Amino acid sequence: MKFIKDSAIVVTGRDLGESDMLITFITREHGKMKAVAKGARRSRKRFLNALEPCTLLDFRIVPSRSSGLGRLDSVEVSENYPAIRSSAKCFMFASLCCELSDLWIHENDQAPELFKLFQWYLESIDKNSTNALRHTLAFKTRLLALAGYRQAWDRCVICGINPRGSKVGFGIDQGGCVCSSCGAEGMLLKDVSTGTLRSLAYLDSSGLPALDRLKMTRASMKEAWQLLSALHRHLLQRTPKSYNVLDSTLLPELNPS
Amino acid sequence: MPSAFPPALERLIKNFSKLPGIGEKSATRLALQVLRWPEGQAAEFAESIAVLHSRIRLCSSCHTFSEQDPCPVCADPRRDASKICVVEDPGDLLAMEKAGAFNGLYHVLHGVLAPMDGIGPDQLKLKELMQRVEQRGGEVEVIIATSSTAAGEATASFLSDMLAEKGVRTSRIACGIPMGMDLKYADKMTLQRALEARIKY
Repeated sequence: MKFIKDSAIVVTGRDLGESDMLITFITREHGKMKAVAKGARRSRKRFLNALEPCTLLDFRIVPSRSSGLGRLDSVEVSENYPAIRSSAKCFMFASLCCELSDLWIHENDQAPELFKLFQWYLESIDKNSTNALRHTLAFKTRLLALAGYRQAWDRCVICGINPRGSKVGFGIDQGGCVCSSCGAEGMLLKDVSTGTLRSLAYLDSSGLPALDRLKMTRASMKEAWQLLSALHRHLLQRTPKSYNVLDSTLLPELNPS
Repeated sequence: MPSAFPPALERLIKNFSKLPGIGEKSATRLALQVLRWPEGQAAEFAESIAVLHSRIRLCSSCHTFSEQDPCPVCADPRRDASKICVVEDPGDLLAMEKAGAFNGLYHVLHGVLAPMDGIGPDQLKLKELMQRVEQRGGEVEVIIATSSTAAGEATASFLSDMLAEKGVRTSRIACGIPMGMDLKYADKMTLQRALEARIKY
């Protein structure tokens, strides 16, 4: 029998029928994959707490003979990030990243960079929950780039120069900041501080281990969160459900006043 | 194409197939079975469904399903009111009651944190729990008995932070090796948790 073997991060698990589950993974080599875990709800013995979101595992899938869903044959947990589970804040941030990954990546699209980013993200917030907000900002920034929507954070998206002044207009439709000389009537620009945009540029392009060197003020993180949320909502043409929960509970101080 | 069944039977099949795990074939089998019953038995079955919503409500104290308010557990003066066990849903409360190992009161959250499904703290009965605790002047032990799933653990952490702010004594049910299980078949995380929660022997 032919199997698909790979490493993956569980993104979602949904009930399917009476006793099965439909699991969505971000895999190392096969992109986003879905598979049916037969009997996963009836008996926990076979998949024993492996199918929870944010679990890193090695799996074996029996591909479908037709074009349907494959069947999950076996899994072995490599890491289940216990610190994320034991912090409501980290769990909510990680849930948002799971949902965004699921929404942004199409099934069977190759996404090795996303797998690497996701693994780094889970490891980093599992090790140090104080970085959770900043690392979630980095994840959201880089996810946009991986999906093909890299933003021009610190140069004008039209003329390419670095805008001056403490605040710059950011065009959600344009995909970057727009300097005062390029800004035209009818453009919907959001005023963002240049410091925040520089921080977002750093989060987008620096090496992952260097992210901890970035210092961001609370106000700057708030502004960055709002801008990234607006971009994800606009580009996805929908509001991920996790945003509703995060906006109303964990991040009231980051909401627009 | 017109249905082979009379409209009344067709309606019952449609309603049965709304139940979880019941497809059209099973719904047809169940509907035909009801049709074979004596009229009185079928009427009793229909009445038991009809009165469900009018009779059963949430207990205003613990929020479990009950025909009385307060529910029999909350109304029982022999229960230890200084202990509140927080569970995810009424099914968990029943499991705890069946075990017979707990003599305190309960609080049903009606779910756990599930941001991907849009369920946050506001959707759970957390404010109601805080009110209960405040009514007792904080003189209560809250035992968090949510499942040891990722969502259950995160909910327990959220709840524990909320209660710690109020200075309420909080504990978490233990997690580890189930009775009768061979140790070599336990997974890594369960073994870690079992060792962490070890007790003096």
